[in-house]
Amino acid sequence: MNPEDISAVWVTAQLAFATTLLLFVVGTPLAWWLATTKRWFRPPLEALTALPLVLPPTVLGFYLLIFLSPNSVIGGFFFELTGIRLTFSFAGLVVASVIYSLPFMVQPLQVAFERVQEQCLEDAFALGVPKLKAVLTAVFPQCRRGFLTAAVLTFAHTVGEFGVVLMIGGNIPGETRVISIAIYEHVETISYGDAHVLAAVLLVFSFLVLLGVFSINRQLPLRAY
Amino acid sequence: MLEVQIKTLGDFQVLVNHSFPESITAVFGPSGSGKSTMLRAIAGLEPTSGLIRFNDEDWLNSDSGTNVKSHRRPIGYVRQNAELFPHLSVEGNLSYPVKHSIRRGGDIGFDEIVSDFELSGLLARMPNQVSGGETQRIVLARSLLSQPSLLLLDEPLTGLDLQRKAEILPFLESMQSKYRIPTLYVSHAVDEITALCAHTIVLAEGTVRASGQTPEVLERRELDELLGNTEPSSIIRAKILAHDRDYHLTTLEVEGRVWSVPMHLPLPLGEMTTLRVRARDVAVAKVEPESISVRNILPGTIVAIEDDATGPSVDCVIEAGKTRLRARITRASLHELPLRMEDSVFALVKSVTLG
Repeated sequence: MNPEDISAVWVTAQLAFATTLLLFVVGTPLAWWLATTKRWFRPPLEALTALPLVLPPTVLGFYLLIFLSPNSVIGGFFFELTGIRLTFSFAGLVVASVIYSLPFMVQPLQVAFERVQEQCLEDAFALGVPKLKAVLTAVFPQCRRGFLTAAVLTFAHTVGEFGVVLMIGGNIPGETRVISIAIYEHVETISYGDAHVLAAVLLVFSFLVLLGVFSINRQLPLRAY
Repeated sequence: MLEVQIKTLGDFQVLVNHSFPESITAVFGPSGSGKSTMLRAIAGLEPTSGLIRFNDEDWLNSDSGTNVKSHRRPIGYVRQNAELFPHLSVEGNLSYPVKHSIRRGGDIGFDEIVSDFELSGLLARMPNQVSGGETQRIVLARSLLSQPSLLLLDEPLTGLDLQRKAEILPFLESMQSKYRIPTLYVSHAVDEITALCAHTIVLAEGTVRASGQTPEVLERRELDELLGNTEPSSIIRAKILAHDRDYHLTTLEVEGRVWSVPMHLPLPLGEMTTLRVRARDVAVAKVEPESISVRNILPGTIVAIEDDATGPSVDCVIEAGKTRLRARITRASLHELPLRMEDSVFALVKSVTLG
């Protein structure tokens, strides 16, 4: 592998880690809220969360480009605040990935939370345990599978991202050039050998990740969803 | 003392205005009468308006806007078909309140509870490796380890067969005599109530229909339909003398006479228990019969004759000491024997049901 491709692998890994971590923090409360609320605006919010599943990445990328650009309100405010551009930069890629991969974190978590008996929380309350602690100690440990699935799917999905990255990140080596973009470029420039190496890396990685998830899920006790 | 004047706000309305004494009170009534809803309201798990005051502390007071959160009410709540936390071992379940409850450092110790409830052999197991009866025991033990000042038990024995019930009742009893925690005990099983509860309230359609000492409440005839006794009967108190496992009989003392009845829940010897005797299972004799298969005989005096002048039968009430037995006989026998008020007679009891 040439140094540029190694740097693409590195950028991809960093992006996937950052996205998964951020989404874990943002997605967990969101999924909990969606799983427990009975408010009328739950369906619209669920639809909004699921949008990245159905929208072409170009549409998402196009809107992100408009809203995150330093000339826009949001992107401009962020640039003023931090001096970091959110378009054609690694930071921009992370923000875009968080939005693009949101359903992959939220949906498995929401399903896991919904499967835990509602009474578990009441039992904990009646034992004198406050709500947040009850959620952390009586509900979340029962959702290990959900958390694992959500984290792995988010990570793997971010690694496999292409359209949104191209729209908002471009192709800056060492900054926004991820594996999928590098492969695209190798094919465009007819360096099939390099493309083969990277494609094989992604293929093997994706297979191993999924294999790991399915094996671990089988080993976890059935009751711990 | 628990004072409850509430109206629940859910689809099913419960309107209760009652003061519960400092002991174990049975909450009795047909299914759908609001028993569980009332318990959940007291536990703070059900939207409710009104007043709930426990030992001079307001848990709910709609006038002053007080509504103490569930986890801040010092309750032990065991819901119907209670389950353990599936991700924790039996030991993890038991120590859960010890680790996480805001009520810590009470008198009730972990080791003591484990030995009282005979759980030491189960500690390492996971919840799916223990039986239904064991689960109930663990759930009760777990709620005690949260150091409750009020126990709310919602049919803790429902779904268990007589054998399992008999296994757990002694734990409930010794728990009561040892820790003396005021308890509301929801059940629709008369035998559990009579075994455990000094007081009973009867709920129907979300309101309290009757309350008082358990034998008195269970005896009130206007409640028969609510209590599921479609037949007139009497409730009598008896002391347990012995359990005979070979003949499946329990020997009891009733007003100085020895009775044997079908095997009762194996309550400790010397305990008082309650029997229900259907009026049609009681015959009346003017002299004490001998060589008769009926084993349960009680001499007494006729204190009432109830004859509504319809149908073939009349009811005689026979009193012996504190015991009153209702006998349903034919009007023909009443006239032929004859039986009159104040007559000394022998009540012959053919069969009894428990509780």
